[in-house]
Amino acid sequence: MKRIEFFDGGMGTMLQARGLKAGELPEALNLTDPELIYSVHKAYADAGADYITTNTFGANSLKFDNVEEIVKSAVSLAKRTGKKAALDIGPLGRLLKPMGELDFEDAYRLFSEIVTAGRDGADVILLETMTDTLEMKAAVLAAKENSGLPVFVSMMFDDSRRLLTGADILSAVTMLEGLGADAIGINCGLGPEQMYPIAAELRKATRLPMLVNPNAGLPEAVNGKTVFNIEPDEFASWMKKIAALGVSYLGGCCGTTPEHIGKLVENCSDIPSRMPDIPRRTLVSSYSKTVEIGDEPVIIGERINPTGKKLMKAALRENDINYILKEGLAQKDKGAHILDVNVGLPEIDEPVMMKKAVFSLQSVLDLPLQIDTSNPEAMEAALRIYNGKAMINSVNGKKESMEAIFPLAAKYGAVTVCLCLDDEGIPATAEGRIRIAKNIIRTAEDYGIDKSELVFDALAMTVSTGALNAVETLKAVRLLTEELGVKTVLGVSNVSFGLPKREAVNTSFFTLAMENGLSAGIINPLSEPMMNAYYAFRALNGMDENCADYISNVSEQPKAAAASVTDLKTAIVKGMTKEAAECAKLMSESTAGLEIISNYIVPALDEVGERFENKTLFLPQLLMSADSAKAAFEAIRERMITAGAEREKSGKIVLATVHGDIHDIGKNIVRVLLENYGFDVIDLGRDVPPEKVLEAVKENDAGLVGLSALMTTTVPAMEETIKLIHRETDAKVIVGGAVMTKKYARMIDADYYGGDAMETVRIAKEYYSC
Amino acid sequence: MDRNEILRYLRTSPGTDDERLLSLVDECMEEVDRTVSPKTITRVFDCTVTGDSLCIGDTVFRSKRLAQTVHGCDRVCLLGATLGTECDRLLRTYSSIDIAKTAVLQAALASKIEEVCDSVEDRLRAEGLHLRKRYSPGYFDLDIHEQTKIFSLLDITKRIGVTLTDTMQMIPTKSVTAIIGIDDNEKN
Repeated sequence: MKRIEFFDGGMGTMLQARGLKAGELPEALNLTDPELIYSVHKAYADAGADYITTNTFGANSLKFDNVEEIVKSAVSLAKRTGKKAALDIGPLGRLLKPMGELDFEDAYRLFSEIVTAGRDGADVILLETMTDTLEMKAAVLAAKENSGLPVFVSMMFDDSRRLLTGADILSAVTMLEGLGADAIGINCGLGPEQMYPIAAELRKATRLPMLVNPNAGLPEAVNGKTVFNIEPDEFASWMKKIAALGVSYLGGCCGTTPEHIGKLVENCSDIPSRMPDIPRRTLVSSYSKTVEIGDEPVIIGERINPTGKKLMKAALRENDINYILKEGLAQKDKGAHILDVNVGLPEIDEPVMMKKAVFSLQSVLDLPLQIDTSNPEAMEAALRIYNGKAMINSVNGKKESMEAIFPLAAKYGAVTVCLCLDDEGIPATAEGRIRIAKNIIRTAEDYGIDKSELVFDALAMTVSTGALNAVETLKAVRLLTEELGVKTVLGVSNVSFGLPKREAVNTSFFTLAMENGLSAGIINPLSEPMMNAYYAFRALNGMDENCADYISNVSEQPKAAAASVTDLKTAIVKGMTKEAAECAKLMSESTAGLEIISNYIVPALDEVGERFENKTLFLPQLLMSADSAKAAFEAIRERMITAGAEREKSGKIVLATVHGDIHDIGKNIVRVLLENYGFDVIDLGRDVPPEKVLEAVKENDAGLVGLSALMTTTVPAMEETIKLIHRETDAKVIVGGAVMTKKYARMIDADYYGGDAMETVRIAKEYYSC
Repeated sequence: MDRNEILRYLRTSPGTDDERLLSLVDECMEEVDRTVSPKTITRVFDCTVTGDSLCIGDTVFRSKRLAQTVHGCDRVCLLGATLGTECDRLLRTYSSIDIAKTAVLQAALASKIEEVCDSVEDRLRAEGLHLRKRYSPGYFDLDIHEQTKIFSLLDITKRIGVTLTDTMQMIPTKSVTAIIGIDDNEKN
């Protein structure tokens, strides 16, 4: 019988009891008072702890300039007890992008420094009190890539059982198991009583050994001091209950003392370390949620893909991420569970674009993504920064394909789409495709990848070129499901290529495939017939109690009351987005796009702008009109691209919120208005370093730069950016933002002051007209 | 949340009869309530107040205006509050598709964080504390960099997940810290 092993308890509380003041950095004591730290370690060792946690929770380069020294000393102090040393790594105290301002690779570097300094001497690496999945991913990669030590990951969930950045237990587990964590656990935040149900849920979610280190109860403020309210006996009796759930490691966090750990060891040392056998499931996750590819089919949205899509191609060429985000949001809205992301165009840098698309989609969407590229470099770039456990699209039975993809899937953790083809092409029969699938499963095993991490694409062949094509595909889906016990996926629409009324064929084929066991369909969720077929299938198959999903998704949408205005100009002035788009689309059938713009859209915008400046309408109304105008442009744009009559853009403007400033709504408002007036806006986002602004100005040969700053603390960065631009280019700079005034703008040498968004538009118009 | 306050944040007349705008405001108020997960922390400290500073243990906040605000108090309450990371995601999501809604959401979130702070104060008052006005770093002569002291005294990053950038901006952006004087002598 393997017994439970014990971690030590709180360090901070012990140090505070020995005189550490609030705000003092405990890690410095490893060098200034090592004997004090050793005495705490020793007390825990004597109390029966098997693992001594190094005093390095906050020892990172954001707080210290001598991390290596601190960490090395800490490891040797823990080792001196003769027990195993756990190299302790806490969160960095900064949030990663997109929520915060820290780059993923910077976080990785900070964690790597600690790992490198502490790996000699440590027995395990303990990442603890983690509250953000992306930060955990950076930490696990840093630990794994810079050491061969086991990596334990312990998280702090709140009482709603979520991490601070939104992940539920299953999502965090899914990502960490994929990344190859060696044990998983919870600590801090709560006492053992509140932690019990969380531990129980975690036990059901993970196949890994489990660690539970609670606080000594909930913190209470007494006379300005934080105290914890659970005595050693009560602590230990709760821990006994937690132990019975099946854990491998137990210890304490804030407020626990050697007495707590002593009692814990006394109460739990005869309880066996236990790991229930959890069945393997096929799971993909985002930063906050998990999708199971299981018995009920799921929808993978196919629309983020330039193949055959003019607007998507144009967006990719123009680096227009917003277009991609819109496609993503629309598919989520229509019921997609996972989104395929393909940005492959010959003329773009695919690794860069893929990384950017995945990052941007994940900053607004909680759906898991399927990274779709044949470029292994782009695949790895995206998998590395992906927040969660992604899907890979795809590998096939060719040796070189498996050699390129499986190491990535094994390292980062991903569910891989496997195409049933190899060097000889696609076998005509189902049996031929099964043979390839078997080979793929065997090869994956060599990389340590279980077949539950694979999803097989039996490949939909065009039915118009072979009467049995669909039959063989459906048969392959059934055989894969029943004989190989694997999950399946199909790109559905290929089946109808070359036929009239393709949707009729697609929907029937989709239904048949689901009936044969299909686990996931890669389809267009914006196609109503396809989604109707999906909901109908679920209802007919007993997957939809009371047909509730069917009814709520398929019900006839109440037709919007017949548009009360048919005039595009009025629709824009009144900020009626849908009507504006409809009017514009209708008009574009008989009127040239450019004519619509100059005779209707621009006059409407002028009228609204004037009324805003006269204060007869207000900012939200101005913006509603701006959104309507934008919708109208988009409605006529596809036709204009096709006709080769794209609107000529009237001047390039680089926009950025300055370095250190993370508030960008004002800048975004300015962007939308400038775009409405036909300016070619290069939006660099927020927290943009001066060199990046300069680089964009030079690269685009832009005449104007718009900079925004919200707080006094970021005005120096604005000034620095202006100086750099003036020194290196002839571009003029407009500044704006909450903290800016005309006087201030002059002081920092700006060329123009944009008091509000309309004023900025006016300045840009004047600048480019002369 | 108060609809009129949101309109004021948007520099729009509360008397507006623009139905489309009013229904957008209502929609945003609902979405904010659905999305946010407020977290707060308060802690009461003994303090000494001089003419130009507030001292909590070894920590000194230098500001005449703050000193006036907490003049005569022997205790202060430090407050940290946040609406959580999802509110920033909400803003980012809409800023790529609907700028009008983004601006209204921004105002609704600003109103919401005030409401959260107010309700913490209500709770403290219900516990019998007599509170003065909230005072935050960046007001008048209390330097914004004093923010780090409040973060440290309350252990804000660990306890409610708010982080501070080098430029003293809080993330999640809809977060507030404040110092609130407590009147122990006042008889009801």
